[in-house]
Amino acid sequence: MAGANSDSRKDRSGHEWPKVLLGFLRIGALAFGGGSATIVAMRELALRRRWLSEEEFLETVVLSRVTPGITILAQTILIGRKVDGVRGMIAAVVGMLLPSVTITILLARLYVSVRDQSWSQRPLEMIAAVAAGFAVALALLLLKDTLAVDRHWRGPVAFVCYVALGAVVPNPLLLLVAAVAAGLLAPRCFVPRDAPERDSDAA
Amino acid sequence: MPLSHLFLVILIASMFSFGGLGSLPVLQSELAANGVSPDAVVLPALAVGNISPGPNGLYLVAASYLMGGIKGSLLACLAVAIPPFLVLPIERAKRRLIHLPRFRAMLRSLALAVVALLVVTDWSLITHAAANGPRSIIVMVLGTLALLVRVPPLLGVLAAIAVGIKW
Repeated sequence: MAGANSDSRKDRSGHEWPKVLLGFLRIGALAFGGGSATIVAMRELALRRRWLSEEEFLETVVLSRVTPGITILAQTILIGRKVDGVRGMIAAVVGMLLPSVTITILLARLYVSVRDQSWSQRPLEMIAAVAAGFAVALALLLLKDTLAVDRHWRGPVAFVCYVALGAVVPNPLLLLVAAVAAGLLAPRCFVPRDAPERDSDAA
Repeated sequence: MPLSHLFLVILIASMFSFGGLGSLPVLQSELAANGVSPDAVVLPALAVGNISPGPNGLYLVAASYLMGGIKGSLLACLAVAIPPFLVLPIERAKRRLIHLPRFRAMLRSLALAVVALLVVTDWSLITHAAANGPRSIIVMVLGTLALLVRVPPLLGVLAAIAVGIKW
């Protein structure tokens, strides 16, 4: 399967990047709804164009989850590279970022132009409130996903310890460094001794 | 804040995060360290990021626009685009290291810490938004519920604007 895909990619080399660019331009312009909507759109594009199998797509999801930064961009890079090497990778990133960044800047500009108007204060307060609500919901969804990986007391206990530490440690980078050290020095506090090698562990 | 400093702040926030809003705690900390009121920048940037298409993490571009205009937002675009390229060496390393319990434990520990930091950051956002009164608290709770039941964020923001105008 992987070999066949590799061969077909080789045959297509040099011809697919415009389609990658157009496909990701469409996603970058139309995938309203945040990360989930964008991943769904990328999956639909990759499978419909037969660029990736479902298994390969899932692998891009897992790898992107352990990559620093915006995970969807990491996934975009992997998909673009799988389709058409470096050209595909650049086409995918440009396609994803060009429309979404342009729209983001235009909306930020709109915000700046109305934020000092007296009529806009109440609506802007409500936007801030709903944004705080979105942030809470995203944290809850991420917490659910993270704890679902290993249904054992060790996950919630470590999470509560990190919340307590996060509340008292002024610099979040220190907590992240401590988390890396804890994982390396006390692995059994985070994964069972005989845990199977599952990709979802990494996610 | 000078543009070069803004670029570094966004790069650091992006580099030490996993996922769209994972950069929030580091961004808030770095902004506060540079004498910028984090909530005044972060909350509107989050709203813009949520109603824009594409990844939620592009709220960093909106935050940079609020601090550094067009140049700031373009530099932020570059800063958020760099860390995801680490997926290429990670893809190679993962194949060699994923069988090691210590490596998997480190990834798991890091994932738990990132979510824990988000919870701590959310508390700061909640208190800032709640300071505007009970209406803000109601809208905040409705915003949380809306996203949990998969209502498109754009609808949530439009509803919040309507509440702000009518109420």
